[in-house]
Amino acid sequence: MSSTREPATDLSGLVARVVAGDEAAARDMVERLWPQIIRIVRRHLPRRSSEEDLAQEVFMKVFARLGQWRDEMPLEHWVSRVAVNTCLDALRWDKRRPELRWADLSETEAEVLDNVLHDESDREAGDAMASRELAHKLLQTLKPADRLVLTMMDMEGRSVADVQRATGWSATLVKVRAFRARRKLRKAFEVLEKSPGRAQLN
Amino acid sequence: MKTNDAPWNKLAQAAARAPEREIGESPMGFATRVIANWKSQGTESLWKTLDSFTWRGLAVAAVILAGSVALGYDALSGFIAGDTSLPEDMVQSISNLIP
Repeated sequence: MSSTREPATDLSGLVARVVAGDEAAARDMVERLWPQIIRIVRRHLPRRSSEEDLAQEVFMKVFARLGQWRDEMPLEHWVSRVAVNTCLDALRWDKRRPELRWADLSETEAEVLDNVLHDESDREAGDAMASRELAHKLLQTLKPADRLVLTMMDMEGRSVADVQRATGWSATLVKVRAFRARRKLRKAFEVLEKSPGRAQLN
Repeated sequence: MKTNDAPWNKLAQAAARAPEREIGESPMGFATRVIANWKSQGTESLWKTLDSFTWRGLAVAAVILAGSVALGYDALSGFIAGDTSLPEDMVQSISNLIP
């Protein structure tokens, strides 16, 4: 087995070396893909899962299938698809999708929710971190594919074409899933508003 | 409460403004772990291939055996019952093999 130490500049060459079993090239590949993969994993991480374990699973799949990659498609897009589908599989394993109630929210999350439900002005919803936590909690009540599509489109601002490329779904399927997921979120907001904790606050 | 997607849109816009956690280099030892697993997975997959070939071979052998029994059922049942079309000396020599 070779263990060359020169920096890999040519991506196709690097891939070929990894496929041939070159450990140094594999190490270069891990360092090169780490930021992209960990970003995707963090956005779609299931509850109670370790981001490092899931990232490792993604890398294992990337290495196992690297021989199938053809350079007509940018490597980043191909890796993104593997990562997104691995995250989707991980989300599917997490069968429990608890209904969110007002009492489950922190004080700042409750304030943000109150703001988005009742403030008609264009004022910002409030604390960005609390908004993100609340959005994640709401997304966890959805089915994995619905959660994925709304995370990509509404939280990351990705287009239908981007979601298509990352998942392999058709444009119609992406649009239908997004439409249904938003409808389910409307119901989740209604449930939250009627939940007992909310009644006590008023 | 509004009946459209406004609450979700407003929340998603606010959430998108939250700063992302910094992404540095991979954690210490991460690349080593990935590479070690990748290498061991290669060996495991070789064993898995051999394992599946063995089971397939056994399955094919079982099908051939069942087919042979089905096709030669008359001769076999006749042989067991002592009523066989096999030549006498052949029957005798097979009988001698059985203690």
